[in-house]
Amino acid sequence: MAKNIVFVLHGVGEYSEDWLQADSTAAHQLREDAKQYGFFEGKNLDTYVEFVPILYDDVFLRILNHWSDLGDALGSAIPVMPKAADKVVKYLKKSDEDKWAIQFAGDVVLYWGFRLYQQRVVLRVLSQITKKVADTIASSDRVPGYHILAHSLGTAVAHDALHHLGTEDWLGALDHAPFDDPDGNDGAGDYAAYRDSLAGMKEDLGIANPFHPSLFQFETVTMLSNVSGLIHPSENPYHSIVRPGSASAEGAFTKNYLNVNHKYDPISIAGNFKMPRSWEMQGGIDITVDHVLDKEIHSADHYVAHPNVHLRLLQSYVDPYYASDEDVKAVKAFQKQNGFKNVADTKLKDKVKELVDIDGEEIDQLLSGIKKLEKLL
Amino acid sequence: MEKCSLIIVFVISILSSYGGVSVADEHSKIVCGEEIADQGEFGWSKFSEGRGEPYLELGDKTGLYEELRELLIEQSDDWQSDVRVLVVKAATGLIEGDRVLSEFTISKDLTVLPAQQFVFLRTPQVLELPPNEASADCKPESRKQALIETAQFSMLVQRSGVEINSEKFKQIAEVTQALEGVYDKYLFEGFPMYPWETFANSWLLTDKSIANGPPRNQLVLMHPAAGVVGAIGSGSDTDIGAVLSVEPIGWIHYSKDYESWYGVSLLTVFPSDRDAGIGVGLNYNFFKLGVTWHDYDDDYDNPTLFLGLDLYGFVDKKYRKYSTYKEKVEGLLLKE
Repeated sequence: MAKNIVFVLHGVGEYSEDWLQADSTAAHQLREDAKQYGFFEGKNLDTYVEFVPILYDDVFLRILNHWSDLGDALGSAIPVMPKAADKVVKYLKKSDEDKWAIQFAGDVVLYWGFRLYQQRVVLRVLSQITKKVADTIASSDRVPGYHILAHSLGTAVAHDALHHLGTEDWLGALDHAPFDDPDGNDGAGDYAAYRDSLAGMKEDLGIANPFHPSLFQFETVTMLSNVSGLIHPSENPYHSIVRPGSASAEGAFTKNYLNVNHKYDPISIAGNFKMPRSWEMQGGIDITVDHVLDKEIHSADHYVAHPNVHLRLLQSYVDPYYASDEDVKAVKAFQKQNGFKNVADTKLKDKVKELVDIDGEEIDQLLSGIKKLEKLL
Repeated sequence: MEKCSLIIVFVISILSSYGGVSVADEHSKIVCGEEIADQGEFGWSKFSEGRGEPYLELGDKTGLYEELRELLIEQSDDWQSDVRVLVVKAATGLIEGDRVLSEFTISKDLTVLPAQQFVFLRTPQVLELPPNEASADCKPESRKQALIETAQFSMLVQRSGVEINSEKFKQIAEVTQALEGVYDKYLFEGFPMYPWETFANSWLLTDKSIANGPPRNQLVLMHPAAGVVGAIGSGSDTDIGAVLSVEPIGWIHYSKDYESWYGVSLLTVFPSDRDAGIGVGLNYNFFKLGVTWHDYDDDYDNPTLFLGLDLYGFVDKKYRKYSTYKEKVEGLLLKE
């Protein structure tokens, strides 16, 4: 049975293959959240949805290791070789979760400062998405709905990846590819038909790409703690195809776009993505939450815990489900209990305030660095 | 019909093997309180080339799907395998917030379309297909039925477009995976690039398009390596010395498969046992061969042979020790 597909893109510092199993992920939180609603009683969210982890941080790790190896190789041969690069690598590697700004800035520099690395990261994402789409379309009895759920740096990566996916002439090169003809003339005939088909697509759309927004749309693109407006090496997200709307007149790549930020999340504040008001008329939803469950307010699961977020996601991902009036009441109830001004735990509130204050300086430095980088590039 | 003023939004190649889609309950939609699903039995392969005036033109939504189906069935006997149907004035509808095709008009435009293709042209109208039966849009009953049928048709059309391109999606998946390998060769397995070189190549040589692949060329910039030098001038000493080399600037070109590369660089060497030298070096894969001239207070007239290696990628990490490396290179030189 074909399930709807949700591609989940992580934030900074998720190097392992099984990162989606962690409790801090949006997928885990959605499964937990669904249990409180009547529709899902006795049902499992995974019956309707397949969460597909999209890993890309391993590319950053490979780059750092490559730099380290370069320094190591030369350093071994020439003892006097300066090891500045190696020191930078070691410094970045040492940065742990508490030094998110260092880690975030490190990945940003690699991602935005080096187009080759950015393209390698985007390809890493696209190869996973396109393979899954190809597999599910070919094997299922129904074409599933495809969704993007991205968090933090993953929002910038997702934006770039989708922009390239929908605008590039991916199959153009195949038109000139040498043809392996195991079936003799029959095969040649197929190839000729294929070339005609490609030519037709190119004539109609300008490019040979079945992922062109006219032919393919994602059902939803959800950006949690959206930094795509801050880091955009490929195309400005305010003008790219990654926006809500119909595939035709607007050339939009998604039917719905959810921009979700947190009032006290330092990354949200730094990202500062202002969804254009016109998008609201096309399927765009702009949500700013301020709830506090614990001090990890940047975590993806913390975002999704708010019913105003997860109800919309569940409704999008699960075809036969739409939130009942009873379900919607959970939004107010949750806000009443966990909205920032309503949180009873004053120590927790102070911690969150402190987090913003402390990180504020780092954010300023980060923003300043990114702006310099933007000018340089 | 003024084609120029219309916008092409949907091109669908029809595969002869396509037989519609079946939909499980879990994937149905709700319109006007009714659970609906794609109409799997609706065979797109039965569309036909039409003649003359448009087949169908409905300004309202009443009975749209049924009339369309009846019309198509009625004419199915005359249909040919080359299907060319133009759908114009197709508006968008909203089902539970999802935008789908809804109101539409079918016409024929057979001169510009390749065989076996549909083209959908759409105006930016929006027709609400509300999930709640209590909605005013769901009354009277005939309107409700029309909305449901429109939703069925729309869902089928939208999904058909994706399904019938399945082979091309597979090819894109293969292309992106292949490109991953090509980028890896360029970035991690080819001529080793130091961070500043990657930066320069990123912004000077790399195309914005990823589908075009990484650059075929590579700029060499302040590139350090290790090697040995030995004087080759007549009457000179044949001593061999370890040397740090730096290529201030150079150029590398890759083979078609990015498996090998060659290039030329300006070469400077800094031996510990003699003065620095300057010359020209050639790169072939991980090997470097160059000639340098050193200032022996006699006007750079003693050429010196430089033999170098980019150690990264050439030998295993455990062998990247200078002593092993020097022995190897000395062995090579002394044989000659």
